[in-house]
Amino acid sequence: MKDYVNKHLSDLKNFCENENISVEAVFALPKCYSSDFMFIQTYDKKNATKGLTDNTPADIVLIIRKGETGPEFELTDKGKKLLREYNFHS
Amino acid sequence: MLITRKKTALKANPIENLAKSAEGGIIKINSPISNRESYKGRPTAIYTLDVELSKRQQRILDSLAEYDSQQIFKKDEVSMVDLSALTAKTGMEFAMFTRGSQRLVIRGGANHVNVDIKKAKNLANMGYKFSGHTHPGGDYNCLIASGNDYEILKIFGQTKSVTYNSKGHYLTYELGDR
Repeated sequence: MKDYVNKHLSDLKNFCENENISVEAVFALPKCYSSDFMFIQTYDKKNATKGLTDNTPADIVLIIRKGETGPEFELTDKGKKLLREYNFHS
Repeated sequence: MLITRKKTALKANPIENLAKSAEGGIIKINSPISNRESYKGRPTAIYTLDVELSKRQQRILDSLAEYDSQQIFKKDEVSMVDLSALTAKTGMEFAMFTRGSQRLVIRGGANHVNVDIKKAKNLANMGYKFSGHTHPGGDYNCLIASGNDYEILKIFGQTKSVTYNSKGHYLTYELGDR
């Protein structure tokens, strides 16, 4: 999925511009992905001190999926706040 | 003609079709006993139909009989797909660490593996890399990475690893650029 996102980078940049969010933040954040989708995530490092003893999922800020005609983007409420703030402060 | 088309579809994706057949209650038609034998060791079939582990997987499980037990294997003796199969069979998590030609496998519980930050640092100091771990469940939701998953990568000096579910599906998780 990483290669797919890179191949459609202009779509991601357009989406970020339209949503007034930072594309740099999207790349700066951790992500998990399969061959068909990618979750861009965020978490508080202060609460991530338990190693493999805790599986609580990190928050998802942006979902990118392979669509029929190109990538599909879904910004979560958390993502709207965090990625726009990142844009504001950067 | 219809039968021919059905056979073609089964060939294309035998595991998924076996599962669908079971759901539809017609398993005797589409999966005779001889076919079930060939599904041994496949995570999806174990998770969906409770078929047996392969002999190799059963040996691995026998050596990891209890929570928090650990065992070192040769690199070609165990894979993440094997651990996915064990998770499908037991409902427990497993984690794998690799050092040279050795793989260390640790058996966890239903929702964790007993590798805290201190133990992870010890393993990293011993030269191990974190190959991946499993989460029980049949969908992708159970694979969404935690903050702890990301932080543990830093301890091992890695940028990414994988999490497998009980059906052999996996997500790669990866640190960001900053």
